[in-house]
Amino acid sequence: MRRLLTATGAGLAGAALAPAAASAHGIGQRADLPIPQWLFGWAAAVVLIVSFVGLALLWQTPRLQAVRLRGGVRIPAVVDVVCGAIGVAVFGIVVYAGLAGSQTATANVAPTFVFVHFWVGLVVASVLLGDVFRLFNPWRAIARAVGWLVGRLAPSSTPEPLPYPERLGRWPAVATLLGFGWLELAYQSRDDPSTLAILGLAYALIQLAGMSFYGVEPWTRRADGFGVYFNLFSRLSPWERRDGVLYLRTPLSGVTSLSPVPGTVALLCAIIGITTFDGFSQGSIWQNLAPDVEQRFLDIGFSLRAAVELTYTLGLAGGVAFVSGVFWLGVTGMHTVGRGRSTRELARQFAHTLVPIGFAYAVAHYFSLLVFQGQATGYLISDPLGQGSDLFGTANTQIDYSAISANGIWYVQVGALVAGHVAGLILAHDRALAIYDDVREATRSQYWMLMVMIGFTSLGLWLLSATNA
Amino acid sequence: MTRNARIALIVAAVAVAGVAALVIGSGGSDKKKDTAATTATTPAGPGRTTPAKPAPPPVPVIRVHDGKPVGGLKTLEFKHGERARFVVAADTKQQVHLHGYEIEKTVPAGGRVTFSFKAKNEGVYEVESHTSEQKLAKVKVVP
Repeated sequence: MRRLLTATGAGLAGAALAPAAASAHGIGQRADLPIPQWLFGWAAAVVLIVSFVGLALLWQTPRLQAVRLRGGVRIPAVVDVVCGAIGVAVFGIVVYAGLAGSQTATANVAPTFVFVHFWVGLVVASVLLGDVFRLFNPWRAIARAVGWLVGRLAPSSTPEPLPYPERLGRWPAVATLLGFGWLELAYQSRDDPSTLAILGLAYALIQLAGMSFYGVEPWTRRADGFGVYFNLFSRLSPWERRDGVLYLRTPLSGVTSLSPVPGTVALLCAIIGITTFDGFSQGSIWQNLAPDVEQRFLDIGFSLRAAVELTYTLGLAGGVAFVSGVFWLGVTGMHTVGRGRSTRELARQFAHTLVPIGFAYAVAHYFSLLVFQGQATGYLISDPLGQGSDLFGTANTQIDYSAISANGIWYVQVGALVAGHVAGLILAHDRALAIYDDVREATRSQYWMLMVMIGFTSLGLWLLSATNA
Repeated sequence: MTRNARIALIVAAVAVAGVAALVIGSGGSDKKKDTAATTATTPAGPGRTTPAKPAPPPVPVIRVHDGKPVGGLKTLEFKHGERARFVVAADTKQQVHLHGYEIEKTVPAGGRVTFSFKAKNEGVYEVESHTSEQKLAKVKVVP
């Protein structure tokens, strides 16, 4: 593997552009097989069955709307300092490797770190362990360190941060995630180590500027796209940290406290829309359609690279628009039940029900990437720059592509979609009980949300069955 | 929700389970018949190998002209565990890399090279030329 990478390095570096060559997900050398028909059928049936049984048996008074905390272990402040320092160090190493190391995507640690450890690994870690990104967030750590230093050295010179504009809400995070989705799925230099390093630096600088204007916490909660993204998934975890104390909470209750500020619905639609297009772009419909669209762009004078990027940009926008459309359809339907609630209010009240769907889509589409490309950690950690070093003696390890069978991957993918469906259903049911006056109205409103959930889960299953079919 | 409504929903769920079992059960056997039929009637084309026992399927050939695959990107399908073989024939010298299996061979100008390996990794892997930076084919290994 190592020898091969060095051998092919020269060839890769010499190529200015490989049109649509990079596989999906930003990096990775392997794609998933489509789920077989029988599994698709059974999964769809199970989804319908659990939906009906759920509607019939679920509780009749809201249970998840208030977070109940149990236990409580104090986490000393030094943990924040150490983890923050580790976060800054890892960020520094990855940026340095991206700039100074080999520019072969698979030999340099930067692309795998960004697309696998960061973008996918942290999502899974957030659901299992809570908001770990907050602990390691390098820009937050730097901002807090600087704030602490300035407070120490010149306490009088620290100006009060500006109030974070309410109307801005989570829109900056939406922009960040759409930008990252574009980088992952449309941009042709997506796996170019130095490009990723520069983008990472630029992003960190924007975050530092934002935090210096509006304060570390308001900015991290609303505008730091990745902070918002990982925090969203950490809300599914049973862990909650409050004032330095770590508590256990009822599963799913963390999501209900997601404040419905502007941009929240768009955020969820963007997250699911990006993954939807990621899956769709590997199916035959898109594979047959894309060359025609690219040709249109070539005909009106765009370069090959621009034509490919524009085509994929359109596809990405289509994915986000489709997901938004499905959600709005359900909300509009709900609007017809009972009176006095605008569709906008309902959309915001039910946006949080999409968080488990978003997680299910992420697992369904990225699980195998995490399992396989994640193994690259072995050689990348010993040779992060891809220049032949062997820091930990693991530089010659390889990715074992037989680590998990296609069947194993299918069960995880389908299991995630079904579990996400159930969680979304429960969240919607509980919220409906909380906002509608009587149980009958709440139940009627939920026929609409049930359709939204079944729609998303079926779409997810279909995407899995169409990939590389 | 009334007791009757709950019972109705449970009945609906049971009905779905029953219908699913019926449809998938028959669909599954239909599918087996379908694939059996296609295996028998269609000879293995260049883009596809079928695991037909009687005669070994012809080894698929990826023809490369000017660094690009002739006839577009084809998918070569193999069964997990079998010996997979394909040939790359190119008019110009190409360094050809089968991802995932990490096999790399140089095809001389006007020459042909056989890739032969045990299909132990399931999934879809690209065959890529590191000379022309083009995808040449996809290797699909199914369980």
